[in-house]
Amino acid sequence: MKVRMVTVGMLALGLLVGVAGMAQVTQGSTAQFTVPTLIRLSLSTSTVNFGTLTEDDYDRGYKDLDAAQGIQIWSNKNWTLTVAADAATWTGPWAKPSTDLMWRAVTTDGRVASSVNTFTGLTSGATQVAAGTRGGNIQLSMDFRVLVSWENDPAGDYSVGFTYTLTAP
Amino acid sequence: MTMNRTRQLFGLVLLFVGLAGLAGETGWRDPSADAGQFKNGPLAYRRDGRYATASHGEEHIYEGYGISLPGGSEVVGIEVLFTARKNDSSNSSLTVELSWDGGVTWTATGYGVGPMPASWRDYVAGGSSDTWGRTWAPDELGDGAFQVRIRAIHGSRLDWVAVRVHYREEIAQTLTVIPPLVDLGTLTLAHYDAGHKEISPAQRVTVSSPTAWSLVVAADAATWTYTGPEAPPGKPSSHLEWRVSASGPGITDSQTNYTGLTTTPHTVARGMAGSDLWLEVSLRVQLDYDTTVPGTYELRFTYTLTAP
Repeated sequence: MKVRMVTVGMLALGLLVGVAGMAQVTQGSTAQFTVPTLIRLSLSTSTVNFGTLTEDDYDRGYKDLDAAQGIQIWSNKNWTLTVAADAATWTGPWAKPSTDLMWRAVTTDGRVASSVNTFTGLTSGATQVAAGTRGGNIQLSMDFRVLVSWENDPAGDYSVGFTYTLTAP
Repeated sequence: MTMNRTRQLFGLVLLFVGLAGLAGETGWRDPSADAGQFKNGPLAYRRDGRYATASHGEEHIYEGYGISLPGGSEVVGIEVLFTARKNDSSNSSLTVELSWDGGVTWTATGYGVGPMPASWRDYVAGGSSDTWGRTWAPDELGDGAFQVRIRAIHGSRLDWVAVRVHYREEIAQTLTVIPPLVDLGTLTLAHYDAGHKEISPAQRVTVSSPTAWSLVVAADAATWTYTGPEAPPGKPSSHLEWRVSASGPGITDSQTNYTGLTTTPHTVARGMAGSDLWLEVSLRVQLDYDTTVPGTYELRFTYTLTAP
């Protein structure tokens, strides 16, 4: 009789565990998104104005404008920045070659892997200004120099257009 | 001593089985149809001061209570309420039985109320745990099947003959997440500028549980799966952030601040026993140029509902 009672008690315990045991259900989910190649190029100013040249500028043979243009780059891939003159010559009193406008890039941004930091004549063929790794708000500063001579550059208004191209291949 | 211990164990078992259902009741339901010998029978459809009149020995049936229980419910009690009084000099009584098959078969409880004096009072036959001597299927309470038969002993007035059914709703533990796939779409530089892209709400989670529960979420992997031309950036799962942006009744302790998803389960919310309890989850993905290169990203994660 005593043995039978113990058996009943154990059955009851077994049922208790079965009903009161931890119940668990799961549901899986997935999150997804797509990232295209994204780049943005921003210039602090689109016009570089040397103003009115002086005799001293002629005597020196050039006029410099340091930090005349700020460039900001956003790219989620490695990138390359080039610049090219829109035409081989300036518009003005004579066909002043575009290479008389010189430029160089200045930066301390660690994401810029390479940059042209010596004055280079602007050509109608694209020339690499800088290249770098992905990042946002990457900063470059452009210095400009215009070459002038008493022999070649009569008085007048001169202008030349040029275009930056940012590429993330 | 041994017998007492055995009884205690069975008592515990029954307690846990009982918790597997959620108690509910229909509220007092009005009839919408009647037939029989009472005068002005429809005036007992609702308590409005107007009344049906019954003479001694007359019988009347009320039905059309519009009772509908959730599927799988267990009927645990039926009450019939009379707002009534006597109609002549003798204190009156009412007997009542129930039918589940349109009046073919009747309970045999012998239930009645009274004696009723000249003042209006509420009388209840049956109870919240009284099934009138039988086991009821939910559809036996529906219109066309369920009827209340009343017999008057001495003259009576009836203002209202209402029915209330008590039931236990059987609740299976379920968890649904809609949609299971959250497509955050194609990102733009504006999202990089903001540092994230958010979908709010992104998912609706619905829980049914017979007991108190907790819901956790965890990433299936520590990093996103990347497909694309670049070297895999190893974007961490914690860049998918989640929070509970809305929830319905019965939800407690929900995580309302954005939290990075990790492989370690994190509590989303807790709740009480109930069915179709809901909450909405917002998701946002954190973006930076180091870990979010061009390509397609996928992260699987799992919600786990636990009822301890």
